[in-house]
Amino acid sequence: MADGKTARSEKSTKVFGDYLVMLIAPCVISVWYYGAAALRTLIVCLLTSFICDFVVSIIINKQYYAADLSGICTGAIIALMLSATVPAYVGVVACVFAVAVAKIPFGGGMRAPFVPAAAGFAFAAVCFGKEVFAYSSGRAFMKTVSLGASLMSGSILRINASNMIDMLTGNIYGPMGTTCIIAMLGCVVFLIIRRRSSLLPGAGFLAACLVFSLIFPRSGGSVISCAVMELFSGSLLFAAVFLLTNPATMPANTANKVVYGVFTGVVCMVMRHMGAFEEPVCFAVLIANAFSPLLDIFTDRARIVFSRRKHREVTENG
Amino acid sequence: MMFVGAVKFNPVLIQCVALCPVVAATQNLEDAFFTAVAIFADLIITAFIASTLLKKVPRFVRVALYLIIGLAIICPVLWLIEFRTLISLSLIMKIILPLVAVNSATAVHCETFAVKNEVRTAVNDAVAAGTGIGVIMLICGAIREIAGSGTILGRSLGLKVTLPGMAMPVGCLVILGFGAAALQKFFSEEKSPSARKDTEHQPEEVELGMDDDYGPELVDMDFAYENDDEYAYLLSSVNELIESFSSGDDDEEGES
Repeated sequence: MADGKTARSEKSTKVFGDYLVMLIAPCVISVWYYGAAALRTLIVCLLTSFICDFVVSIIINKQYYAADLSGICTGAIIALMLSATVPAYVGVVACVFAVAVAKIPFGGGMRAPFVPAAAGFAFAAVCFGKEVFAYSSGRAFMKTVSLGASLMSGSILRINASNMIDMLTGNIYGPMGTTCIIAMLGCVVFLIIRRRSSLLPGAGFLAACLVFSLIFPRSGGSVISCAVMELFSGSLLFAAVFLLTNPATMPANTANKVVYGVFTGVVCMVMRHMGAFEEPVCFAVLIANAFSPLLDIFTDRARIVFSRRKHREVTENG
Repeated sequence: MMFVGAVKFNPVLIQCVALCPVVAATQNLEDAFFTAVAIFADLIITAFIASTLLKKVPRFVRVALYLIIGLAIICPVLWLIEFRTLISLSLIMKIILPLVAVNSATAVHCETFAVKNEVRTAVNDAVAAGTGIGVIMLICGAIREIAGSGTILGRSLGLKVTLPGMAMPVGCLVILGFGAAALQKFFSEEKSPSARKDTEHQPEEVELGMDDDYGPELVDMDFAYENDDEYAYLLSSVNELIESFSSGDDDEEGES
C-alpha cells in the first residue's frame, strides 16, 4: 500500500514537475506583458492552491506530500487562463474549487477524473463570467477586444506579417498566459522530448478545431484568416498542451487518445459557435473527461468480443 | 427506525433517489421548503394507500397508481397555494411541484417497503424517508441561497462576493457530494477500532421496528457503519425493483 502511494507520488512529481517546467515560459511572458498585475494573480493562485491543498489534506487526515506538485501546477494553470487584472477573489474561488472539489476528494492529481484546473476555471467562469473574460490590454496591439470576442461579433482581422508576429508572440488581448504561440510551441517540443504519447489528444483536438473552423467559419471574411484566428484566440493551444495532456484523464488506448482529442475539439467549437462564453474550452474538456473512461471500456469490450469470435472460428475450423 | 430511514439510509445521500427535485428545486430556502413539504405529504399518503389498498394490485398497475396518487395530492395543493393564499410560487416551483408526483423516492419506498408491510410500519418508513429528504432539501436550499444570491428567505445578508454557480445544479451536486462523504465519515468513525473491539463479541441487538425488508443483517447489527451490508441492501432493493419490472410475475407478486 505504502509502496503504491510512494510510486504514485513519484509519478505525480515527475508529471507535474514537467508541467511546472513548461509553465515557466508562459509565466515569464505574462509578467513581461502585464507586469505587477500578472505577478499578483500568479502569486494569489499559487498560494491559494498550495494552502488549500495542505489544509484540506489535514482536514481529511490525508498525508500531504510536499513533492506532489499537482496543487501548485493547478494554481499556475488557472492563473494563466485568467485575465491579468481579474479581482483576487476570482482566482481564490477558482483554485479552491479546483483543489478542494475537483482534486482531493477524488484521490489527488493522478486520480481526478476531471482536470482540476479546467473545473476551477469553469466554476469561476460560471460565477464571475464578466470578470473572468474582461481582459486587460497590457501592451497588446488590439486595445479593445480579444480575438475570441471579435470572432463572436462576426468581425475578422486581416492577417498580415505585423499582426501575425503579434499573435505569435502573444501581444494580443486575451488571457494573460495563453496567447503566446511561440511559448506553446516550446512546450510542445518539451513534451515531444519527455512524453510524446501525451501529445496525441492535443493533436486530435487542434486538428478537429481547424477542420471545424474551415467548414463552419464564424465570420464572413477569408476562411483561412478565420481559422487562424480560431486557433490563436483564447486558450485553445494552451488547453491542447496543458489540459488535454493530463495523464489522469486521458484514455489509455492510443487510438482513443486521438478520439478523445477530436471529441473535445468538436465540443469546444460547437460551444464557441452556440455557447454564451467567449472561451468554452474548459467546459469542453470537462465534458470529454466524463466520456474518457467509456472509450477504454468500449475498446476493451470490442477486443474481448473480437477475440472470442476469433477463438470460436479457430475452434470450429479445427 | 426514524434514525435509520432518515439518516443512515438517507434517501438522497445514500440511496440516491429523488435527486432531480433536490437539484432542481433547492435554489432557495423557500422553494426547498415547499418542495420538501410536497414530497413529505406525497410519500406518507402514497405509502398509506399502498399499504392498505394496493397489496393485491398487480405491480405494473401499482406503479402507475403511485403517479396518479401523487398528482391527485400535489395538483390540488398547488392550486390551493396559488389561488387561496397570498403565497406566490416562483415559475420554477410551478414546473417542479407537479413533477414531484413522479419522484423516484415514492416509487422505491412504496414498492420495496410499503406494499409488503403493515400500515403503521409503512407510514413510519415514509415519515423517516420524507424527513431525510426534507432535511437535505432545506440544507441545500439554505446553502445555495446564501452562497448563490447572498440572501436568506429573500433577505439580503450583505455579502460582498456571491457565487452564482452555487445556485446552479452543479452547486447542489457539490453539496450533495460533500454531504454523502460527511455521512459516510460519520458512520465510519462510529466503527472505530475501539468501538469495533467492544462490540465484536457482544453485538448489540437493535430494535428497528420493521420487518425483514431492510435485510436480516441490519436487524442484528449495531449502528456502526458496515459498507458491505449497506451496499448489499441498496443493491438488493434496487435489483429487486428492476427485476420486478422486467419479470412477468406481477400477479404472483401482487398476491403475496
